[in-house]
Amino acid sequence: MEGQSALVVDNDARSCINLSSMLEKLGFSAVSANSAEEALRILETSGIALVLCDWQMSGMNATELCEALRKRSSESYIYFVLLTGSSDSEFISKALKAGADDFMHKPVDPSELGVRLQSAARIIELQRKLTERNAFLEFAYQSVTTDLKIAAKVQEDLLPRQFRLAVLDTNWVFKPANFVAGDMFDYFPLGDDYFVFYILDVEGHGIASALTSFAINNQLNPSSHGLCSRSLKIQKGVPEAVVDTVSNLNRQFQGNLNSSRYFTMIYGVIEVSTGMVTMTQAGHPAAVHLPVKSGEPIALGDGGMPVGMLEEASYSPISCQLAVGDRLFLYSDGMLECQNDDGEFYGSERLLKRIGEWKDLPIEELGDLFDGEISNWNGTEAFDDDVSMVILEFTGKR
Amino acid sequence: MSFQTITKDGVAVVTVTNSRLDASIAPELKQVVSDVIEAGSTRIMIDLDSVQFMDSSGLGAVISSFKLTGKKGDFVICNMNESVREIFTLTHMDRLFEIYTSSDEGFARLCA
Repeated sequence: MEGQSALVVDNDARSCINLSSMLEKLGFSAVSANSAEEALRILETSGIALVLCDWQMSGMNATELCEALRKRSSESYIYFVLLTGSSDSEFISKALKAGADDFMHKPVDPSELGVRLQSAARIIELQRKLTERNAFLEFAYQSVTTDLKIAAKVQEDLLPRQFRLAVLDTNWVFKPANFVAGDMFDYFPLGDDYFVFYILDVEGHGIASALTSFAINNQLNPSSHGLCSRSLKIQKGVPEAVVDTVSNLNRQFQGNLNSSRYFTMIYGVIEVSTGMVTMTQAGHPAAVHLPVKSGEPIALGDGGMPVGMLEEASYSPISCQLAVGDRLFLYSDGMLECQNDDGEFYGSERLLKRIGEWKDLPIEELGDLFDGEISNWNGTEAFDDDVSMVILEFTGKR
Repeated sequence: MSFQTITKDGVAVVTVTNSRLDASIAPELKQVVSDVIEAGSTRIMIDLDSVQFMDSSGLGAVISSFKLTGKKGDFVICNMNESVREIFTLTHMDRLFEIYTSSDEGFARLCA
């Protein structure tokens, strides 16, 4: 208790002096206030954590003062002792309900005061530690959040440009569940003859998944002489090269028994001169082809084993002929498994229907439209899983 | 508890009692299966009757459990609902696992 300050609140100046001198004998430095209003002003700036307040005051009374203190936004706790001349239990219970911590009968007995204030000091100390710890946690949380925001920016910078490429118009939606995503995608030309595209989704979401997705992305990056460039340089057919790339990834990303962080993906190549698409579906939701001619979306492929799950997994190529104006949609399961307030999944049926309904809208608008569509379905901007979608429109040579 | 384990006639039946087999309980499934293997079981059945929704982490935990059981053990799954079965079909895991529509069938297979 040594060195702590206490505030005595009483209309009666003599009572104030009496109690103050008792407090000073107990090692407190005492401050007095003649009214509740004055007490509030003092507490505003003093940082005093202990208040002893007379129950009967003109103006604002003790219960009202206590209520006002409990409503303050300040984090530091004020221990409130009510001094009462009454043993009216209804009054006392009203004061305790208003937030008083303790009460004492007047006239105050010095030795009882000492004991009571010891327990007050314990509580004040606990509260102080709690406040300190909260401030530390808040600081730690803020710095983690700041780091994650930077990481999210790094990931966003890895995403491809939207809109016009040599033979493709493109657009996408990317909504990480927690700053950074286990979803990634990219598309880029490979020499003059091919375009590579892929989308992948690492099991789970959050930081661990995102780091894995960065690693895979790096493997596939054309500038880092990644897998896809290597396998396409080997003069085999395109289907073999596509299957080889995914098989190589599968070998490379086999975890051990305890950490088998697998991922699903669609990896494909478009032949620029013909619009012929060859791709592999590794456990990822089916790509959707929207032919401009029929306007009827078609889901492509019947699945396949995820990458990094089983060493013996084998993959097969799927092909699809794009005509000029045809679109290809790739998306992650976070889109299909997005649930609305009633727990209903967004689902592939709804997605296919939308793709068909929006066939005449320009691709430049589709990213925002699907973004809005899935956000509306979700009801908030906080998603349970990463949501991503890539839209490619084959324009032929321009 | 998200899981219940009963060992009968040398077969360990691990029942998922949660309606969601997702990232929040996936590590626990791996642990539960690892514990029954540690205790000597080689025949394991995962009962998914209560599971309404399974995400990628849930699937990962089932695969890990299967791998833990090893080639010498027996591993079956029973009682998948439509949405869980779709994930197994999409990932071709339905071709890897023995899947039964009832726990009686699965149990009988492991006892055979």
